[in-house]
Formats: sequence, C-alpha cells, structure tokens
Amino acid sequence: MWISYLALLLAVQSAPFEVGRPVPALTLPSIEDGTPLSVADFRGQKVMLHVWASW
Amino acid sequence: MPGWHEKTKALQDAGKLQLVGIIQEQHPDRTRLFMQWKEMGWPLLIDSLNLLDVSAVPLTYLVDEEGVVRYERPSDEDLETFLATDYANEDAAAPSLDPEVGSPEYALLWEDDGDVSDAITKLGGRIAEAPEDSRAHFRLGVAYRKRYDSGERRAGDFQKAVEHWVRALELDPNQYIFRRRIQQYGPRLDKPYPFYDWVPEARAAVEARDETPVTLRVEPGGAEFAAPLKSFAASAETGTSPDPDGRIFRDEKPLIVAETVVVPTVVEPGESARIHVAFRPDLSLKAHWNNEVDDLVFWVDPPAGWSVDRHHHTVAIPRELVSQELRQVEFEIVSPEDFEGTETIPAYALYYVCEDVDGTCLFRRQDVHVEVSAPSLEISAPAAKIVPKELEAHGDVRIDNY
Repeated sequence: MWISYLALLLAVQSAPFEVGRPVPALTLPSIEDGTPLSVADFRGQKVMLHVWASW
Repeated sequence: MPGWHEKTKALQDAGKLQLVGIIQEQHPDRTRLFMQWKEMGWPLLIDSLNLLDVSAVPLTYLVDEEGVVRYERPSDEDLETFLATDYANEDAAAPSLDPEVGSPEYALLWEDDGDVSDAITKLGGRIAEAPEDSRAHFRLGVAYRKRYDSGERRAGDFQKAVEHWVRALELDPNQYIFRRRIQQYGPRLDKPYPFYDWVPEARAAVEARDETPVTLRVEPGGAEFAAPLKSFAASAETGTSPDPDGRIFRDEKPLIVAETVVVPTVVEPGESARIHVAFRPDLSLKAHWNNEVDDLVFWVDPPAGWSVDRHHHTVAIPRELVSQELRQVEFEIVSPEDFEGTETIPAYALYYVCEDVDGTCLFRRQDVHVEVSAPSLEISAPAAKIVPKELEAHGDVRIDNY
C-alpha cells in the first residue's frame, strides 16, 4: 500500500513541464481574445515558455 | 523571467524565437494591462484554475521545434546552444495531467461563456468524492471568486473562495500559487509584496503614449495594493464614534446589502486577519446611493484585547448624483493571545441612500457584525498558518525586474 501511495504522491507532484518530454497539449484561452490555444500549437518554432504572474 | 522579454526582442523580431506565456491569475485582464504597458506582444494562455498544476512562478523553459522541453531556467549560454541546435524527433510521452482537465466545467475559463455555477457544482461534487484533493479545492475557490465578481454573485461566494483556498494550502503547503491567492486578499503581515501597486503607473504610462489602457473588470482592492508590514500597527486615532448611542435610524430593509469576508478564514490567537466589507445597493429594490450629501462613513470598535489598524473609514462619493456602485472598506485586526471560540467585531456604516431614482432619500445606519473564529479545538493539526515567511526560500520573485 505504501508503494502505491508513494507512486500517487510522485504522480501528483510531477511538474507539467519536464526536460526531455513534450509539453502537455492542454488547450487554454488566449489572453488576446479568448481563442483556444495550446503550447503544442507552436510546433515548428523554437519557443521560450514563461509561466509567470503580473504580481 | 527577469529581463527575458527585453533580452530576446531582437530574436523575436527576427523570427528566431517565439515567446509564449502562461498565467494563473484570478483576473487575467490585469495581465493584459501589464503586457500593454510593457509592450509584450506575444501569445499568452490563461490558466486561472491552474489546470497545468504549476506550483510556483516564475518558470522559464525552452521548447524545441518538436514541442519537447529542452531547458528549464536556461542561462544565456543555454539559449545560444538551443537556438543553434537542430533537435531530432524522439518518442517521449508528455507528462500526464489531471484526467478531469478538459472536461466541460472548465469552460468557465473562457471569459464570458462559462457557466460558473455549473463549475461550482461539479467541483463541489469532486471534493465530496475526494475531500483532500487540494487542486479541486483551489479550483473551487477560483470559481467562487469568479462568481463573486459576476452578476450571478450569491451571498458568501467570496468567503467560500477563501475557505477553499485555505483548505487547499493546508493540504499542500508548498503550493505557491495557492499561497499567493490567499495573500492577495489577506493581512499585511502575511504579504510578500504589494500585488498590484504597478497598476496606476501602467495606466499613466499607457495614456502618455496616447493609448487607452486595458479596462479592468474588477479594480484591485485595498489588500491588493497594500504593502507588507513586519509588525502590526494598531490605530493611534483619537477620533470618536460618529454615532456612539446608535441614534441614527437603521437601514431596515436593507436598501444596502452588506457582506463581510475574513481572510484567513480562521484566526489564530495573537494573529492578524484582514476584513473585507462590501456594500451594494439592492438592485431588486432599485436602491441608489445618494451622492448629494456626504461620503459613506464606517466605524469599527473592536472588543477588549483586540487591535484594529484603523477605526474610522470613509468611502468617497462619485460625481454622479445617484449611483449603484460597490463600496468597499477593508481593515485589519489582531486577536488576543488567549483567543478561542468565536468573537463578533462590532462595526457600522452610515450612508445616504435613495429608495429609487426620484424616490425618498434617507440617511441610514447599518450595523455590521463581523464573526471571527479561532481554530477549532477538535482539530489536532495546526490550522492554516498562512505564511511561515522563513519557508519562502523558493525562487519566487516579483516582476520588478521585467
């Protein structure tokens, strides 16, 4: 049981972006006009991705 | 992302690097104003519910042409290498996301189309099944606060938002997105920095360029501008209660609906809390503020053993003769060292209100009873201690160095 609990913890704590792995293809609204957009939509380009806040 | 926007401008203009942003803000239009101010023209994704499960900001990654993450927190040299390298396609699976993500309740992310009440019901159902799901608690808090800011608002929405954010942080104390959301509305002793003090400067700079600043749906309130404090400054006012004997007639209907919110939800003995009091004319009664006379006056006189940062508050009246806007007062209290159970902080407002446009105008008093609770003795674990500042060793910096 402890092993599965630990596995669950690790799964929960895994970062959404990991070096060597593709970005998750989650579609979110764009700030410009709300149109759906995903980080995965930028294939073919070199991307600098910032996760930030205006506070 | 200190400096990256400026530093990579030439690369962006040359089409060699595409910047993409993600934010978890409760009010994304504030980020839109920030980007307008700093002239950041690149795409940005809104993740108010933190569906991506990010636990701290800022984070910077370099993502190759195939959509694979190559660097985290890159150095200048990393960026050079990244730009000079042709990355081959490799087979690796993307990190898995919460399977609930992508289901219809998250439609509320889309600013106008989402059914927030439906999202609240579904997230509440999720918590009923998994009461310790910190992410569901955080998202439910976001949804409640979103409804509070909308015309669909129901009594208690903001307080419920705070309750769920506090619960989320109790369950996952290393989650800085959760922590910041509480601090945004919480007391100054717990603040890492003022959150939105840049807004007036941004507007002035945008106007100086002859542009119209992005309109904010919800103006930042007092807590969102307030600077941090190292020690509580109790009021040194010598004024007296404007209606000590309670002789002014009460607003019995009431024409003005008052709502109080305590942040954090539970106040530890000897600790501070920020109280938000909102006054709104009851639109179903066609009530209006009467602006021909004087400001709204608010007075708080805490019980013995309690401190308050300010007793006397005023809310200035707008230029129009009548109006129906939200009027807000915020103040902070410190509970006694032996605080237990619950305590009521007595306060009241005096205001000028009309029963309808062209209706009878009245000067009225409304008593506001702020209920504050100490941690329940039944809970053995310490209740939400919002900010052990000494633990803030995370790379969490504010945006000054953009």
